[in-house]
Amino acid sequence: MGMAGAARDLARSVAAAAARDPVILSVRNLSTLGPGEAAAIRREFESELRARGARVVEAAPAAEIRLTVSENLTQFLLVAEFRRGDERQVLLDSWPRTPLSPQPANGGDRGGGTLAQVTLEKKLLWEQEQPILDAVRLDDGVLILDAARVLLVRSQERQSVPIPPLHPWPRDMRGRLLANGTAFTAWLPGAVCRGATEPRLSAECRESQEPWPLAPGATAVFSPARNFFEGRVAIESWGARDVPPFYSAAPAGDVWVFAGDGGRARIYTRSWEPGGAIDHWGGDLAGVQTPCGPRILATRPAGINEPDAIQPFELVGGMANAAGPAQEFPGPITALWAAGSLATAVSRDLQTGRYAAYSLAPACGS
Amino acid sequence: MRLTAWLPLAVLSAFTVLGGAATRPRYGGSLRVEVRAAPASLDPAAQDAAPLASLVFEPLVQLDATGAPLPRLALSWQRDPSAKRWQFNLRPGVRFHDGLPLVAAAVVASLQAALPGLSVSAAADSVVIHAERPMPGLLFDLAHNGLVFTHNAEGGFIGTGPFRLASWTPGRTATFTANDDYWGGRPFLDAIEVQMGRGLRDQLVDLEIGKADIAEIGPTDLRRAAERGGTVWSSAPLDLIALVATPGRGEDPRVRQALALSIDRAAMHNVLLQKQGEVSAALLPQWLSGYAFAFAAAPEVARARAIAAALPPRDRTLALSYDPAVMVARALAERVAINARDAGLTVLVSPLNPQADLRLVAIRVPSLDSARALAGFAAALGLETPGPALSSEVLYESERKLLEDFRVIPLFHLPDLYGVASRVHVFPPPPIARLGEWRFENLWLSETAP
Repeated sequence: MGMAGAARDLARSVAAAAARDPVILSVRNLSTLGPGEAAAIRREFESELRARGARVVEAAPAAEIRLTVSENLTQFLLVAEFRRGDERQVLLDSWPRTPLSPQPANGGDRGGGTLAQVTLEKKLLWEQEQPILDAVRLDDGVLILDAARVLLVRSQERQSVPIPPLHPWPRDMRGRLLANGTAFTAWLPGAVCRGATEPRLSAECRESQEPWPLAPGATAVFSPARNFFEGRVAIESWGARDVPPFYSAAPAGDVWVFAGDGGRARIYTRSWEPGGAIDHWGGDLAGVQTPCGPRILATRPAGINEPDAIQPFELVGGMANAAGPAQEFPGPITALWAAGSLATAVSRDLQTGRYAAYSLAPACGS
Repeated sequence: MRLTAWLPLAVLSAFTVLGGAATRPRYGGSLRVEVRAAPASLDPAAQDAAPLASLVFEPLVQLDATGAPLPRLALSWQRDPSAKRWQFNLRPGVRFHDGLPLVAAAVVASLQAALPGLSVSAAADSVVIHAERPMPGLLFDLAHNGLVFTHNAEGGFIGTGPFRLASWTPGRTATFTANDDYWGGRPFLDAIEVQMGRGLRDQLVDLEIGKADIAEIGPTDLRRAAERGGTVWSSAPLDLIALVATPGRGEDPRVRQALALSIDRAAMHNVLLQKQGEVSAALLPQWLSGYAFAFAAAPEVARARAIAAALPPRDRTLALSYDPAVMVARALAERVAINARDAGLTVLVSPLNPQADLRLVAIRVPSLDSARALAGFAAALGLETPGPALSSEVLYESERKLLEDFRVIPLFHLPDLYGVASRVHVFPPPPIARLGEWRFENLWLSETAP
């Protein structure tokens, strides 16, 4: 049973206890669920309560229902404390919190009834003093993008080409780098650089409003002077549409998720219909194809001076279920981009202040 | 993490300064730690050796800061849909401190002792655990109770962890040295020197004069320990502090109910415990059950007074014993007596009184599996064994029944607290794990000891 089912089940039990007495309902959230999810729980609970004949009032109640959203190591709990005079009753319902053990692969069992989870193998690609915007693993090296250069690292060889300051860069600088054979493209706020790694590393940069790639067949326009996408999104087979400004976006099967301001990620279905919201993610998401199926890698809503983590999630019915353990980092995540079945994450080490780019490879089950 | 457009400039400045001033962790140095416990040996199963054992021995599974299981000696695991059969695939390349490889047979031998009643068997490079009942919380039990070890020729315990035991003087001192071959990478520290059997006051003085780097502290010493650039580390609330009725004494539950209703836990928490830990009227802490708040902890003095007034006068006096070894025990017991007086009860407080009607006790959370933890608390407190609980609803009902006759009156859940010298630095993850285990392989020292 999920969140909505637990809320409805509990409401039925509480409605039976309340009978037709007027009740006042208060809700508090002691869990790590976000305010959006807590509000959805209240809606489900109150709606079912009324459907079962309970009279929810704002004043002069005969009874009080205090609904608490809580959690333990394995479950989310809904705890309803029902009070009528001296009578006090506690009713509970629950649903699983995080898969403690491997999840079904592609919705089914693997290897004779065993279950599998996604784990992220973290591999250091490069580390430097300057903020890394993105990095790409090549067959024989690594290509690194920062605000001032593109750097090619191949065993003992280092080559770099400068990126001219075409205009003042935003404070929270971001950039995207993709390679195709020996050719590469770097997208920067209001600029694009195209180049090649052979015969020598080279690049040409120019002012440009060219949309940035979000995923194969999907692009969006990045603000030239801010740190977010402006909201104009084009997705192959979906068409183009304006959505609220967002920091990152990720496909997840038939839906797309856009991480926006205030720690809220919005889900859109194929017809661009809003499909719900997730409140407990950070601003950086990446959609990756894993052997278990498509998963979203999400950061935590950590502060700029707090260690962050990246965790795989699966979207089921508009709910984000953790699909494996979080990969911890020694500082905040400053960039997270997907490239096919891999992702690249950049973290600023809180001890050293240096930036490190990691390749994240999802593995499925054991 | 993404900066918002309106982030204050001051924060960005701090960002820059921090980035430039930080240094990389450095290797070397000896960490000096003091503890009250004085274990006779480094037995992985001995409760008083638990934090020390976590330097040397490892479980198959560990928990991250949020309580989610992570691979340790097991690289992966599977279970059947009923959660009765679990298979753990061992991490390759792990060696015991004597150089021998970790094999499934050693894990089986370790877990058979730690998990009685379960069938544990080896299958190539994996270990299979099987039970008659579903074990949805097995990973938590393993993280808590499943340390893996083998024996040397003298019968001593050998582990696979980040530190090796170099010397041991029972109850007095221990030295641990870095395991250069640790599968997770050599610790930053060269060694850890532990002084055992040190009283809290002595530990605090040693921390202040620079003789100790890490010392256990009580809640009232938080501010003092944090002076001179030091910090304070805390575990999750692990110790239940409760009043327990002595069997055969004070059989009328009304007197215990009146006492329970008279206690102002919040005032004690604010003043005596310096807001450390949690006020609780439940056995299981909130982080473990998720419903502890539903047990009413607020005082109801008028009701307590009414109940006490109905008792025969001779039943309105209770003797309360405390163990001076329990932190702040005397102050808490005396405050209970003051609260009880407001309800018309007389509580006589004395240390270690075997004739007392009630005892103030501290009991460690016995398991990370909430159902097993409740059963463990019940056993330790002399309460009836609760039935199996596969849901929070059933667990809540079991706990409510255990507490309904007020034989046990829970008061607080308290964390382990440590004062830490300014030369000790932390590389993630946190150095004190959820159950109070030490993850000191991530510590480094900024300078050598004076």
